[in-house]
Amino acid sequence: MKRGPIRDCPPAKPERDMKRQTAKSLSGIQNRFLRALVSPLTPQFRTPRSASVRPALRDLAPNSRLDARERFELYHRQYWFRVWDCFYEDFPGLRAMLGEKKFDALSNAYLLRHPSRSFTLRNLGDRLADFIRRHPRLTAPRTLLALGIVRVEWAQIEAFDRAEFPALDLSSLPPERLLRTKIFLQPHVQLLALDHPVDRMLLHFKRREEFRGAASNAVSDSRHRIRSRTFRILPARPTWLAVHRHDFQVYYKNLTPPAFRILQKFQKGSTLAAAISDPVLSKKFKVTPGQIQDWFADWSSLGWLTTHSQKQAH
Amino acid sequence: MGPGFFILCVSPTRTGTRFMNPHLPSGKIPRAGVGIGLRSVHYPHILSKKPRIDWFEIISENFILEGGRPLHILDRILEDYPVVQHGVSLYFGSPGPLDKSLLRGLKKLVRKTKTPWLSDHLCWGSVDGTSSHDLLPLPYTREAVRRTARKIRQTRDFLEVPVAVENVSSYAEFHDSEMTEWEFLSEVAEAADCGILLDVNNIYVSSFNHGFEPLDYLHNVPHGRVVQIHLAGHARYERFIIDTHNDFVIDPVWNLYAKAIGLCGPVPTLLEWDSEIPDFDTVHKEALKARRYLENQRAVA
Repeated sequence: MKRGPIRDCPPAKPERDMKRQTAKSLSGIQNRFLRALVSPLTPQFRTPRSASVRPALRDLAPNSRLDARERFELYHRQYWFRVWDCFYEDFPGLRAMLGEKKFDALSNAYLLRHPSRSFTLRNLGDRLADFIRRHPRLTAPRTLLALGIVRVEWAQIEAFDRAEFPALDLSSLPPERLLRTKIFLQPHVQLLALDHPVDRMLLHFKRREEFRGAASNAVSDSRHRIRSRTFRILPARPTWLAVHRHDFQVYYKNLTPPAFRILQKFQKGSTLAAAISDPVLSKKFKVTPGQIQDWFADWSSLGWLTTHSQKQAH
Repeated sequence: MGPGFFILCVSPTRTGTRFMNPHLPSGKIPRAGVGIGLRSVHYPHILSKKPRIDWFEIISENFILEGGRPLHILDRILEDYPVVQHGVSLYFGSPGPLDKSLLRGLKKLVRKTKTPWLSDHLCWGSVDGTSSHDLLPLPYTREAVRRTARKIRQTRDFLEVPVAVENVSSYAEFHDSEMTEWEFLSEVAEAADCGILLDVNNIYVSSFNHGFEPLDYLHNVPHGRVVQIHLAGHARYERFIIDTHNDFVIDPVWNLYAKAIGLCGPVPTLLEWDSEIPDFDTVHKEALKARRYLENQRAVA
């Protein structure tokens, strides 16, 4: 193999010193670059002339067509467009409810506080609900609704690709063994207690967007502007919801409070006997054995129950 | 450039004599095979029409999941086609250790796909766990050679599968670089004893952005280590080129490709199309152009 000469070969130094210095230099360059990369763009989507990026720019060489700032800017803009796109895709309902300006302010605040810590962008929004709780002014005056929407939209992501174990086979278990078997909820089934009927609002929004998409052919671009009036806000009403996957599609299913309570027990792992012996079920909710039997049959037919724990998914 | 453009650098490469002969699998991926990057918009066509194609390349990270449709689709694809894993997140050049959760996910996926080799990029992209989700260029230093080579070896040892590194397209250079990009790629491949996934489009893009002669690059990489070639389209602006993977391969890149297979041999070749993706037949037709070059090269040989 033909090789060219090594350019700018540094003068010989004691091996240990050289190693320490070069290692420091390489990591230092990368630290400065990343710090600048995750710092905000200007409102015109440009790299600012601020102290946050200056150290990184000093490491970069210009060429005959672009200076160091312009070369860095190609990466800087790309970083922000990528994470914004991801947010637009993952939280379209929140964006529509809040409106463009508020959603952008929320996303920027969140992404500055929580840049991606995962090898996959799938997890980018995993702390958004918690962030909204800690910074309610960013979504005021509809913080509770914003929180509900984020929880449902995040649950959709979880329901889409979380594990599904072999479902509990009722026919293989005699009734007395069934009562003693520890049962778990499938990892893809997400249980949410909400203050608003967010599922109905999101379904309405989705239908409106699909209609708009069919009419304007604009829905394929996640950056297209959503008009907040397409999001119909319904009055607050306690809602118990399961977001789950069936035949590789994500669905919502409304639950009654006692059914929700039993499923919560299965989520942690419980025998059927322990789950239904909860005194609250009979005393507060007046649940009958027939109702429990119907729910159990329904959940089993949907494949929600399994004998595998969530830990096995990891 | 408007706020709407976007860069994409998602692709793998092939290897040299020492690496290639003992490690390149026989049979599964035809030596002169032509593949396509598997993208979700093409799933319905592929699953219903079962087009004749030598192999698919997947972006590993898209399938490191617990369950759901992507894994179901992958199982169906694996019934009919060989699959090669290509990644975008190992970041061999990043400071700190390799991401253990990613490695565990890759290992599980390697067992499923039985990929003959696994490729990722010669780049960095994270610091202390914060990820840029980009393929950032390294300063071409000896320390960077040592670091990346060490991590490539660690990856190969953990995954128990040959590893190939791909040259990225880049838009910036560092004052601290001590060698050219092709010298850096060669040094890393030798030190790690790994394969190279040579992205011919990336060579073209970087040659424009940095003002070097692409043939110098092609002539000076260890040809025997090249196990795979990537081809793609890009977006040309007045003062720079962005690696968008959103268009047909341009003629100068095809010419470089012809020279590359002349030097490296009829290496498995893959077309990437990641943005503004047309229908499957259009992408397939574009990929099959590579076959004509491979056949010509074989005839000459």
